[in-house]
Amino acid sequence: MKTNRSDAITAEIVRNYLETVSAEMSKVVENTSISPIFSETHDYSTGIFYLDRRGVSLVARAQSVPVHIFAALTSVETILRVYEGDIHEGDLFFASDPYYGGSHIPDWTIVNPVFVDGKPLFFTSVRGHVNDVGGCAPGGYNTIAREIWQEGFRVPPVKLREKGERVEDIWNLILSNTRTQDDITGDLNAMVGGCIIAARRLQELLAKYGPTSVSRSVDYILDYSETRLRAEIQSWPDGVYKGRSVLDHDYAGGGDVPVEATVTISGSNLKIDLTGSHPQVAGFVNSVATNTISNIYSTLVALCPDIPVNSGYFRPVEIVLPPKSVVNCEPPAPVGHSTVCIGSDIMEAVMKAFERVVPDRVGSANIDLGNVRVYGTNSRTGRFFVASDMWATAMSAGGAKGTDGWGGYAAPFCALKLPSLEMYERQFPFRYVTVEYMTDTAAPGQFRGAPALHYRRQLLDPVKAIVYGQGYRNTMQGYLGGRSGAGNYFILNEGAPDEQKVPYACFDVPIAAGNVVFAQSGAGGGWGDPLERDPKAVLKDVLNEYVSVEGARRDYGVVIDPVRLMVEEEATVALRTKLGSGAKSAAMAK
Amino acid sequence: MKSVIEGFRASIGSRLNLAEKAAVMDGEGQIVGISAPGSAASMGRAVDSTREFFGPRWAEGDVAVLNDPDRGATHVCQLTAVAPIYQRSSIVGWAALRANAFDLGGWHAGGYSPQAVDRWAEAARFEPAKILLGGKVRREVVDLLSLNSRTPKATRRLALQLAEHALKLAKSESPVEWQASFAAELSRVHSAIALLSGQMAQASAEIAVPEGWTTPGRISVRMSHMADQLRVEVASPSVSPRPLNLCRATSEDVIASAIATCLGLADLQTGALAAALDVQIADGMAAARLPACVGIGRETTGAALFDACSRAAAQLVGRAAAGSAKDWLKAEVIGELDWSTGRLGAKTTAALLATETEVRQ
Repeated sequence: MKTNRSDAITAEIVRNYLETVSAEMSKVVENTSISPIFSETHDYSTGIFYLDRRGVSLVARAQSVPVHIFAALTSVETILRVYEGDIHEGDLFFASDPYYGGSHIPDWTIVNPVFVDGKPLFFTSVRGHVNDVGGCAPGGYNTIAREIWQEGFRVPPVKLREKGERVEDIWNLILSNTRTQDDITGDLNAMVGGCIIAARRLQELLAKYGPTSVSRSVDYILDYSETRLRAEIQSWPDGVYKGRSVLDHDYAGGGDVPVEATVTISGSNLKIDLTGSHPQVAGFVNSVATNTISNIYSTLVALCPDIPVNSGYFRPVEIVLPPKSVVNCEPPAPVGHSTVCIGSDIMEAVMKAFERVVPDRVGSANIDLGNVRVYGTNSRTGRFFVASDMWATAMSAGGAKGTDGWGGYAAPFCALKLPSLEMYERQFPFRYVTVEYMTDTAAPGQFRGAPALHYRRQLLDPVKAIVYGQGYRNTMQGYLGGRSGAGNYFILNEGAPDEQKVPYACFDVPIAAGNVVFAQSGAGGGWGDPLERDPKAVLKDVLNEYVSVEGARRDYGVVIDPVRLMVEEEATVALRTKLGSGAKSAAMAK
Repeated sequence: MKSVIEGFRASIGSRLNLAEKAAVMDGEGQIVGISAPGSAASMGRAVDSTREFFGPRWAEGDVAVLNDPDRGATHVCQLTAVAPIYQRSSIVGWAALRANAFDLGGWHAGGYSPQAVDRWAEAARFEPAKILLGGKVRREVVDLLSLNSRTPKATRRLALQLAEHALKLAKSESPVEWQASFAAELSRVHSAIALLSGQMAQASAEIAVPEGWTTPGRISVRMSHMADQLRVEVASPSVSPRPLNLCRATSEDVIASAIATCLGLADLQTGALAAALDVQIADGMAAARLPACVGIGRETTGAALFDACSRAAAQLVGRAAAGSAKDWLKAEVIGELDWSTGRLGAKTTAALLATETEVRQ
């Protein structure tokens, strides 16, 4: 550490202040945005960046979708490069293009510089996923895109404000290239508001402690995280470890798309190399480097969650990405789906590589996002709408040591909130018919994954649907003997003459009013040998109907009397011995 | 005006039909000078909508561009540059220069996207945005145009040359100098209308569509004249979910072009013809608004409207129809439509994409 103990106290105050500011920014966005994807699902992130002689660093962030805010670092760097010499107090920046520091077009980034003595010192930033970005597919997920130009309106770094004055034509250009302009205008204003309020708080901090003290504190914060992560890495066994995750398809008729990860641990240094990953593909699952790096960082954060996350954290990490690959693509490759697919497969491959390094910390990182986006006119309001449905892909949490998969997203995405069904029914012409867990679908493990979710949603107005999905064949992986989870798929117009099962994708399919969309959202893999699961936990699963009596026997070697609903201990020991886990079961029987 | 158009064309050096047009508007919003009399309505709309958007926020040397059909463009892959005309620090009029663009995104190069679900799927939308500020290039708007184009360098070149030549037009033209010509041509138009033998004429034409598509039906035109005004009433089928629609200003262009040819007024150089027309278009395919797709509207609904107007005008004149939609289209569009797919022909598409390496940088 470069600072003395008393500075360390100030530094800790400053660190917490910055994180609180980031949290306040997040609350402003939540409370003032319009679209449910912001106000209900929280598909946005906030962060504070710092500029010094070393470049731009992430200093603080709120609980968020990590893949957003790490990628936003590159947006800030790109803005600085593009506007070198032309950044002024009162400026406000916007960018969305994936090949200009973005991730995919619907992720909009707002950056607000905070000046000290005439120079930008900090940047407050919000990155959020907007509901529509024009282009060829309502909702921004063009399952048949073969080029980036088919995905949405691309925006390089531009100014939304210049020296405090709104730049009307740029603002209008961006919003007029969305289909739900009224709502998205509200969301954009919310993002801007969050950045501005955070900037004020930073000025208050600087006024209280002075720029020198704050800068020294930031140095401390970054160095501290670096030191902590290096200590963690040092404690891990040196070696080379491999992991892999496979997408079912590339949305262009191609088959498996593997992501390969090689993790090399050497002292306190970490190298993560994705060489061997599939070449870039025709469909929209290519990832730009920024997005890939952001997903890798997200995995590391999930493994070491108690270290403050900032750019210092990532100093010990070297990343190698093969050029023109699905994890480091070049234009004009489409990238619309990349933030989650292939993004979460990148996370999964890296996580699998750590399976034997930190077995107590690994668990499903993949969310294998499938979704059904519908669009049409809401007869209650007469307005056009586009709606994604996070409930269609709600389950992805797998088991981890000490915990079963919870009913929601895997760890790197668990800041996303499942929206209130009732709110969705108010805002869109939907009626949710069923939303329920399915028995015997949770991936078995000593700590099991979440059960798969089935949902049925009735459309009250005629709409069109775009479906995109992965994880039907290559389901989410288990760890350390845990099994894989159930797969994802959709059925459109269920029970109607034009019923259509969609395991992968479809585009612009009509759904008549009154028809039903069905989704199975499979969940993350189990952790540990299912035969090691505490029989009492298995019984509880049976009582909760996550597991059937037969499932308990088949998957966990636990024999339960179907009438009394009690564990038959001797029979369980015998079965587990037979199935291969006698020693531990005998200990349980004593 | 002619020299500016020729200068612009030479600066691009493309073999493709850019269908360049220029217009001068006076301070009251009246088109006074125009290079093609059939484009007064749409050029006028483009200038009006640019003025509406920016209000008083102009400086000498500013030039705005747009491609939005609701704001006067006749196709999504077309740019119109608008610049104020200054005299002694006051705005006394407006200059506009238009050209077909090579590509502005959407499903397919050139803006012909048969599977487009709405306007956003056809091309990036550019409502008025300033590309030059005080004569200086505004990087952001140039980058937005380039980034949303499959031919970024060629599009950049075209947009900047269009803007710079619009500025030249603004600096070289004076609306006042057009007024005498306008008055003379208006008199000529009135005379031509007064000589019409019939009082009222009606005609209709079926809208031809690409192979395998269902035709939406017929477009019908009723023309009548009272003294020196010609009234044109258009009825068209309901807005189509396919890219067959026309925005109102485009329809007005088609009508004016057909009438000009029929009445022997195709050589007009002012907005006099548009001033003598009273066009009424009922809501439908010929007056569609966002989000209706318009990508092949000119080739389909536009051609049918041209034919119907030609025949109605011919009835009024008392002779056989003159001019054909085919000639009109050839002058307007960047290349031939492939009627088997609803997309631009392969040859034109290849030529369009080749501009990236061929067009002068």
